[in-house]
Amino acid sequence: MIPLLDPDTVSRADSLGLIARMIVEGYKVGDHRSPKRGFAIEFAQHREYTTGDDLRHLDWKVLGRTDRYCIKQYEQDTNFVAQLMLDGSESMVFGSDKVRKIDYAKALTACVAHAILGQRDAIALNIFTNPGPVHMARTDNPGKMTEVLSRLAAFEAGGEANFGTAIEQVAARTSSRGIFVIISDFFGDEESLRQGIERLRFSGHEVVVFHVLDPAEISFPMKGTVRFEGLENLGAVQTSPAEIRKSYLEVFDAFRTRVRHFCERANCHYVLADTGVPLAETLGAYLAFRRRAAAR
Amino acid sequence: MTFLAPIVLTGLAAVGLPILIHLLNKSQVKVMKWAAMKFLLECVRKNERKMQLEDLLLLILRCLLVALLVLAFALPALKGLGKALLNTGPVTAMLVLDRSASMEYNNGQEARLDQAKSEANRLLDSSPGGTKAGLILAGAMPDAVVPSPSGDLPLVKRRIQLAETDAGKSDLYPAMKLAVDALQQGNAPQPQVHIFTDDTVSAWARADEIAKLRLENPDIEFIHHAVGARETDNTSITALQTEGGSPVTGEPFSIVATLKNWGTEPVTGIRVTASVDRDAPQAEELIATLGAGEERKVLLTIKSETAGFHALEVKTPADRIPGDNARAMAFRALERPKVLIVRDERTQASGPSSEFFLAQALQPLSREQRARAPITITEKTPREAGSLPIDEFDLVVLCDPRDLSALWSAEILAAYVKQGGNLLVFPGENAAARTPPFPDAWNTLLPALPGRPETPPKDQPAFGLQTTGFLHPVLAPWNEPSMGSLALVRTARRFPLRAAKAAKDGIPPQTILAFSDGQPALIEWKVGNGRATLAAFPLERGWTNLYLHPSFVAIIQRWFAAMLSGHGGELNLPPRAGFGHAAPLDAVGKAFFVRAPGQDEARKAGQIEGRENSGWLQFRETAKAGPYSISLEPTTPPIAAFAVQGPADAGELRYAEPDAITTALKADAPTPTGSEVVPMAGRSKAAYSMELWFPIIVIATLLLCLETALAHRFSQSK
Repeated sequence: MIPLLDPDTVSRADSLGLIARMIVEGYKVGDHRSPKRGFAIEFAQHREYTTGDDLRHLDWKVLGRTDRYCIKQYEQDTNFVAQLMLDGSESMVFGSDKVRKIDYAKALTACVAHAILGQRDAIALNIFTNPGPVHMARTDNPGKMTEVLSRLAAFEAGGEANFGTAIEQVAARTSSRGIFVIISDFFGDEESLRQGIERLRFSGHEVVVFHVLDPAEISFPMKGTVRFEGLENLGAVQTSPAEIRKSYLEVFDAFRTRVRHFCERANCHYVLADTGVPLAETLGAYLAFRRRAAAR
Repeated sequence: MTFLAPIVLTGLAAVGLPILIHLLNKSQVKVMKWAAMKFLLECVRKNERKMQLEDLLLLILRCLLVALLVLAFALPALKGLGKALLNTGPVTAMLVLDRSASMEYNNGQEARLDQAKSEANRLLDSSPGGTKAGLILAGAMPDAVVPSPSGDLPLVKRRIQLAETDAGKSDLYPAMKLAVDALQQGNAPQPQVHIFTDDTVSAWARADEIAKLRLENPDIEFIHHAVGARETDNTSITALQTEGGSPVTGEPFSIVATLKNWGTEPVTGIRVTASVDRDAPQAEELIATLGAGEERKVLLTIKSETAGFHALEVKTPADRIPGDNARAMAFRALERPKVLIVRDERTQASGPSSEFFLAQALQPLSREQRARAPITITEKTPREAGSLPIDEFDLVVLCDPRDLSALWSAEILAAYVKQGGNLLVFPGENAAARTPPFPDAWNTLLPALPGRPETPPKDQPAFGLQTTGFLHPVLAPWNEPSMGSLALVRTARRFPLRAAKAAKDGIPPQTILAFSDGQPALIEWKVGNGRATLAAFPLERGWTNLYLHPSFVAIIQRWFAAMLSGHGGELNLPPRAGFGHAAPLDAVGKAFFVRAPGQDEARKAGQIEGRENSGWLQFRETAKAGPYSISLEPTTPPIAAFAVQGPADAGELRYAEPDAITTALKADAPTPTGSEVVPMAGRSKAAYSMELWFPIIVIATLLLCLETALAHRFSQSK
């Protein structure tokens, strides 16, 4: 069982932070670029004075030289709201070893949430599962981390969830641009998932996709005769995995490629979250990548 | 295909091992929950059929591999043409062909004998160059038709074609012994004995001796060719018996035909007919139903219009074995038999004696009726009789004459008997008074030498007659209790009869009736065409009470008919017994002709020889059952006739156990069935050492390689 907040992961994530790589629309001043103009340090432009403007922002030098009344404007930084979208369908229960995909995903969600709240940005938690989704309202209070953890710990994955449709529903009620962190194995309807992500991108959201997969699903290493009983009511089949490994890997790699391609086409970050790889490595590597990208 | 180690074939059960392992593997299944099911289902669906086919192919290959290994260890040997190609060396074979009556069994298409002939011919046709073959026909007695292996195979095939069934049962052992003896002469390559038989019980009755013969000759291979299916349905005429009395021309003559249904199903509508000398049937009876295993006697009355030898044939409609649906009996019809009874002058005090009881038994009629009776009885004293021409009489009875010197000489009597006369001698008080009872000159005439009269031991009031086990045809009916028992016959005195030794080529004396201690009471022998019979006692009070017994008249009548007509013995022979008959002296050197069963005309069969002042003809080709007639010219009336009768149970179709045959011939060789032809080539033990195990091992190795390669290929992930 993987702890929700692994100290190693948390320390790496917190130190790297999650910087919005696109313009986000926060609700308070923060560290991220906002589409709005404000009054801060960095000069942006002049505009004509109108009645009611604060005379403190009047550019006296311009008035002295040109005899025109101009107001100085500056860039405004804001915070962002990260929508954490966690797939809680039954397929996420699978785990060939000690680590189940859902546990890995929960820990990933918790660590990301901790890193975001730690940099005074906001998160909103959305867990999609049967019988119904779990929502936690937007918060930028680091003290709410406890609630995030308790909510993650409380739910158990199960049933079938149309993750793509759920994403669209969340996107519809989110007016301001932010970051969507989607954590799923994407074993559901690929088409609706693709549409959901495109919808997010169309709305100007930044989307980060964590594709959570088990090592057994990636390499299919089983031997002998195995009876596979499908999760999410997909029936059962008995076969010799060794004999069909090549065929299976072809099909599965094609699936992964499809997911990655439509993420890339939508200008989303696609991160393979192999549950066989320690979470600290997976998350640390991604955050480091973002930081390097932001620096460029 | 045959196997030298057939016990190993039980290992074929191991063919199930790959299947068992396959099933066990299938049953050792790990169960796993799986999330990426839609991808798995897609590729399983894509590969399922291919994988099943691969599994099936591997399974078949593995089963085949195990089967081939087991077959190889069972040391197979090919009996087909392929084997002939492997070994084309010459073979020395003796063919033993069963010719018993059962080989006549017809399955609706062909008789078993014909099947055997075809198989033997195919065998010879497929034999390699340089092969030699001989042929022995197995019947009750073996007949070495081609006694030693001959390279002239067309001749052997011709002899095979000429083979015919005989009327008896067969015994394979003597024929096989002859075959083995023939093969032991010289250094025969690949010696083999091929036996073609329908496997009746009688044929293999000496299976133990055959097995011993095989063990004593390990270099010779015995190959069994079973012919025909083991069917049992057959109805036959098992016996013909006279009802009593002598056949006299113009007088009705009754015979009893016994029919038996040997099968397991009842037979309906059997028409029984009787005809004489191949003429139209004189008598006919219909048996509505003859149950399974049932025996039925049918009384048929016929009449012969001419004197002389005749052949009676009783027939039923032909069934599976046509040969036993007809049975023949030869007899001699007399114009009016003349009997001369020689006795001393009767005194008032002497009372009735042998001549009286004999005359009463032969002609139980009043003095007035005797004039019209078919038998003429003349009673004379020795002196009167001595002056009569003895040849005029068919039977001369000597009732203890006192003065033998007044009679004909022993030589005249012997010549009389040889020419066909019959002599019956009753010794009595006069013989008892003489020492010896009869002169030495009579020793060659009488069938036994009488000793001094003897009385029973003190603890025994009288000598008793035998009550069972009657072997002579005259007394045979008394084997059935319904005929009455002779237990009440008491004999107070008797002449002990010591059977005379037969001449070199003569027939030994035969006991007609015996005492309970085995001593002969009535003994006869055949001399030439006639018979001499000697009784152990006279029919007198103080000697015996036989003449008072109810069976006395019947016994005398049957004896008289048998003696005069010949149907009791010498005219009715078992198969291959040979027939001899005296012929006129003037015919010596001339040919005689025989019309055998199935022939339309008489064919030259031999030459009449001279023998002791008379002619003699001898005919030995009597294997086939039926009537035979002998004449001096093809178209002249027969001078003799006889019939060959098969054994009563020749029609019984009982078969030997296959295991017994297999054990007798070869413990490890399964008995071939049907019409499978086993080629001669490649059957020897030397050839078996080159059996097919090596090619099979090679094939198995190739299969193993193929299986390994395929298993490796198939196990690679798809």
